[in-house]
Amino acid sequence: MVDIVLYTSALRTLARPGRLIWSVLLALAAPLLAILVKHASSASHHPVLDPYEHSLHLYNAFSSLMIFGFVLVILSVLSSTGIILQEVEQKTIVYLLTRPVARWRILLARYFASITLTTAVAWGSTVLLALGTLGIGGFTQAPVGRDMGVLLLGAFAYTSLFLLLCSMVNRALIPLVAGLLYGFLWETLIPQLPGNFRAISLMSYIHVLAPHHVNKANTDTSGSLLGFGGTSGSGFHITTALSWGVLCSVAAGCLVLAILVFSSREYVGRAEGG
Amino acid sequence: MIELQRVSRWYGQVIALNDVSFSLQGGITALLGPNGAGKSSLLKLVTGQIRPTTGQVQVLGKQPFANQWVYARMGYCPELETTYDDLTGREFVNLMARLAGIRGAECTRRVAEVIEKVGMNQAADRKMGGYSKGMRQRIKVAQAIVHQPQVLILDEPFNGLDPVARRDMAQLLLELAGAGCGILISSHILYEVEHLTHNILLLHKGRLLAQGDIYTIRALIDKHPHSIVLETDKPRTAAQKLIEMESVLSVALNRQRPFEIKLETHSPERFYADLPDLVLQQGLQIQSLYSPDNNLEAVFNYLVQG
Amino acid sequence: MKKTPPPVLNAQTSPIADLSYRGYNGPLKLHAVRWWVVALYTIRRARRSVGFWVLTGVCALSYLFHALGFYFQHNLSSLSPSMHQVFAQTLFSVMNGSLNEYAVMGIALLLGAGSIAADNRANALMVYLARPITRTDYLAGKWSGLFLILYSVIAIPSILYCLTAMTAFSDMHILQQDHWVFVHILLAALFPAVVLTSLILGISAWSKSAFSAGALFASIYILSNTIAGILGMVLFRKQPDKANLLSHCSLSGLMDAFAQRVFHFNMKQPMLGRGPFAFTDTPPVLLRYSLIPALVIVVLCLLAAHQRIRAVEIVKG
Repeated sequence: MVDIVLYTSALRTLARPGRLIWSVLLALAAPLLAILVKHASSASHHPVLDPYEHSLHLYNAFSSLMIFGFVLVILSVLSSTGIILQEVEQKTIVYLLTRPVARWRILLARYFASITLTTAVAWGSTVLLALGTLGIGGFTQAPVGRDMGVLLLGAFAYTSLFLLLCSMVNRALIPLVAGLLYGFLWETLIPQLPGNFRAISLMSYIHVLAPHHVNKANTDTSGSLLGFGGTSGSGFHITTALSWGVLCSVAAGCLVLAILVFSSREYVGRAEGG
Repeated sequence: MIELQRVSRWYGQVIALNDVSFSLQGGITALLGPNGAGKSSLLKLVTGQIRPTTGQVQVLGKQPFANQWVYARMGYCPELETTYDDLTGREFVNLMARLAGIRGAECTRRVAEVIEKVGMNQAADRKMGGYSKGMRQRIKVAQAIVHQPQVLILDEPFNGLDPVARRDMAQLLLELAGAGCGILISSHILYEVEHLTHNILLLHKGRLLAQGDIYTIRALIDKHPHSIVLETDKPRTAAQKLIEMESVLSVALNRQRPFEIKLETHSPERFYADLPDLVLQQGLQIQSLYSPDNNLEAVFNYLVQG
Repeated sequence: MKKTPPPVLNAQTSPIADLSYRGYNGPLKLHAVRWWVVALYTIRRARRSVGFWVLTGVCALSYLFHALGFYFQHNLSSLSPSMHQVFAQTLFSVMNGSLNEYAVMGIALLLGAGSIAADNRANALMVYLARPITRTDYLAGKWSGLFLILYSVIAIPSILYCLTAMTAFSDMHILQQDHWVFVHILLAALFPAVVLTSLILGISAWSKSAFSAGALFASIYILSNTIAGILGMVLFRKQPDKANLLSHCSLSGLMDAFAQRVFHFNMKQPMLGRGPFAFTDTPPVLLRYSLIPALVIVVLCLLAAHQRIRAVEIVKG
């Protein structure tokens, strides 16, 4: 009962009208752009790709770069950072922390609310992208179901990681910046480094589980340059089983650590008044 | 109810509370002290938001930090002005009640009851983003008492309230104390606190300066003689006879108020015992008699300023 | 025009004047540039922020990283005319490369997001504007404080890099190749500093909290980069000119386009198609394609911020 109250109140905080509009816009961005490119391309006098291949190509490109590379990461960062630290900054966390509810339940309810929002937007975007690029038959032609599953797993992993970061500080902007740098700098640069550096990037594992081969000859390391699912490297090979293991371990491990930190940490600063 | 044993709390290089020990039983206790005395830190320790650096804090026999058992029996009204902007007052109190484990129809009934008690019926269904300071204060008190706690901790509850609302709030707190709720209240408004309780905790620069009944504490401050003001029809005759009394140290007449005499005494009990005889012998008519420095503010000033 | 005498205060209360209160009659010198007081305060606040120094460290790391890279490239390859192109590209990377770009964005977010939003929320605007400063002074102060920080963070590593290259690789005759290299650096650093400062302040002025402002700023910045990047890559094989233009339709793209034009070099643009994933050289786009959108962004953001800065009490929530 209390868990449901905590979850719904957290979800309500996340889905305020202002934020909801941005979430809907994010969900619509990938499919709308893909449709735009598709129509612009079909109107062209010099078509290079056949229609089906072109549509699948568009689905893969937008799914990989836009939904996995942007929507999933930014929503995980924003929702997991905002859900706890905004209350810490505004000091309204006091009301929650002085209720007869275990702290881990508060954190867990907010964690699931954050994942709900991230997954809902990413799933919505994926479904609309498949419909927009491939039509109704898109669900059989494109790996929509697989992508949705991996998006859920990715949301668990990223949200746990960023939640752990948030539980360790009292200022919202620091984990926000750190999360953005991790999500968009680290996850882009690290897979490009020579050697086995991509083993320390979560996106490498996500792309192994949901490879989007936008180029026919894309099995070499050059494909991993922008997170396109390059799986082979010098000596270190990321298997599907390893990817599952790493992502699940990161999700569970970071969540447990976040719960431990949140349960024992003080979230109020030095008194200003008396 | 609340017990602190040699509690100190440091924030880096700054000491907020220094070796504070006390034990509170039921009733209303006022926590007083100038700015920076450590009042808010003490309340945060008692409400389990922070841990003591050294010493032990116990509320209802248990340490309060992240303790659900304690929170189920404690209500807390923080000083902060921020609330949940997007919720209405009723939704906020309802959420807090549900988090305290109250369900269904009972929850709705109790929420309506406390909203009525704090006088927020008219504005309860408006979003809190548009509330005035006084409204926020009242809704904060409502969320603190909705689960009928055994211990109620209030941090500056009179802030932002108009005189009528202050009176109503004081009345509500007296009712709660009368019903058996132990209340610890921190306030700067000494006049209001004085009407609520004579039991005080006085903090200064992180140390506990005084604890107990205000009059007992006042009686122990020998450095400052007690002032008594009386108003009579024959002030000069009265002044002449008063100065002859052993218990009286000085007598002064007031030019602006010709019927008023201000005297100082080291022994107020003896003076009050001797006064009726003097009145009967001289046939004086006493219009008023009061002690301007036998109140909280005077005690506060004497203790804090020396 | 007849002057009326000033009203006598407390005339009725006592015939004897109460002179116990005195107005301040010491030296009172109002700043000729009042906004500088606000700017100085912004800079001092930044100096106390640990996050700012960490991100500045990342920018320094970018400088070291690229300097080392250039050293190896220079030593491994024989000096050829293309080394000057490599130098220009590396200089551009020190300034606008991913590492530096995100670190500078982080600094703008960390220092700028709460800059006006937090003042507004804490009702500090009322206190600021009760002083003898106008809201233009306030905005100019906030803007110039943040601008100077960002400008320094972008320009100083680039100048250091250039000086390092000049002293370590004197055989390249960098100054002879480009007499205006330092002016070019200062000019190229100006663009991102102006755009980012204006954008974050415009958003901050309209946001309820620093977090909302930061989240919106980051979303706009990264979303525009992602969309422009994808469009550029997808369309490159078929319409390279349009794709080149489209790939610069983002905040980061505008900055890249300006820097590319200042340093005169071709940029490597990733592209998608049927074949293997590859890069292609793209020439700089026309200056007006970066300057006009940037100018529009700056003007709109500053107008929006100016409109929003008012001395009204905000009901807290």
